[in-house]
Amino acid sequence: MNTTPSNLEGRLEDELRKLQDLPTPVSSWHVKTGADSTNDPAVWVWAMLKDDDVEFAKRSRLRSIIRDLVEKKTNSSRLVYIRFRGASEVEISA
Amino acid sequence: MSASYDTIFHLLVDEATRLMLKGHDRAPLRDNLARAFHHATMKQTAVAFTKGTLPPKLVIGANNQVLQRPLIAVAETFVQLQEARHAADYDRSLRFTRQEVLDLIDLTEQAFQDWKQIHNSLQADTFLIGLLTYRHMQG
Repeated sequence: MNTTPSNLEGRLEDELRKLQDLPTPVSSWHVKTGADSTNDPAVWVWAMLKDDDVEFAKRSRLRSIIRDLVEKKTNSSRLVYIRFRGASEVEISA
Repeated sequence: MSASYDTIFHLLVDEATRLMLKGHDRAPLRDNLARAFHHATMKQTAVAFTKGTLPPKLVIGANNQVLQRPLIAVAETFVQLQEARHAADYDRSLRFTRQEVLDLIDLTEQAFQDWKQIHNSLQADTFLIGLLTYRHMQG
């Protein structure tokens, strides 16, 4: 995998879009790479959920799936920060 | 956002200082010791526990066991909240939505429940020691 930041972001979004049978449906993904607050290399993933008020257990399972995928695709070289937005908040993220 | 991070930060610092200095008469010493905890060092420790890459001098505290899942979850939540707190306080281009905030609050509440499960275990005590001493434990 080419790991230049912009390329990595696109590749990760592609991989995330391929995920199936998720605990709760995701309408879109947004990935950002960079250095976090302590200058560690990081990946931020925003999952735009199709529903509002998704129960915590489902979000937890989805969080694990996202983390596992990103760590696998980056060889655990970056910290992964995961955020969930609800259906009614998708436009805010645009 | 800051409140969630502060809540887990103070939980862990309080637990760590009580582990190191027991007794009512040690309260002033605990207050002093609490000031020695650094956010960045605590994050380093938490990351090491999430990745299972403990420094050799802390590995002994894992008791040759796989790290307990609730402990990893607490460490993960600490890292997530610290970064979110920093973003909320200093990145003015970033806005947290209601659902993002509610999710982080849920994570915080879950971390408290997870901590109750592992409280006083050898691995949990090792984590608390690492929060203060991580840099000196490397190598």
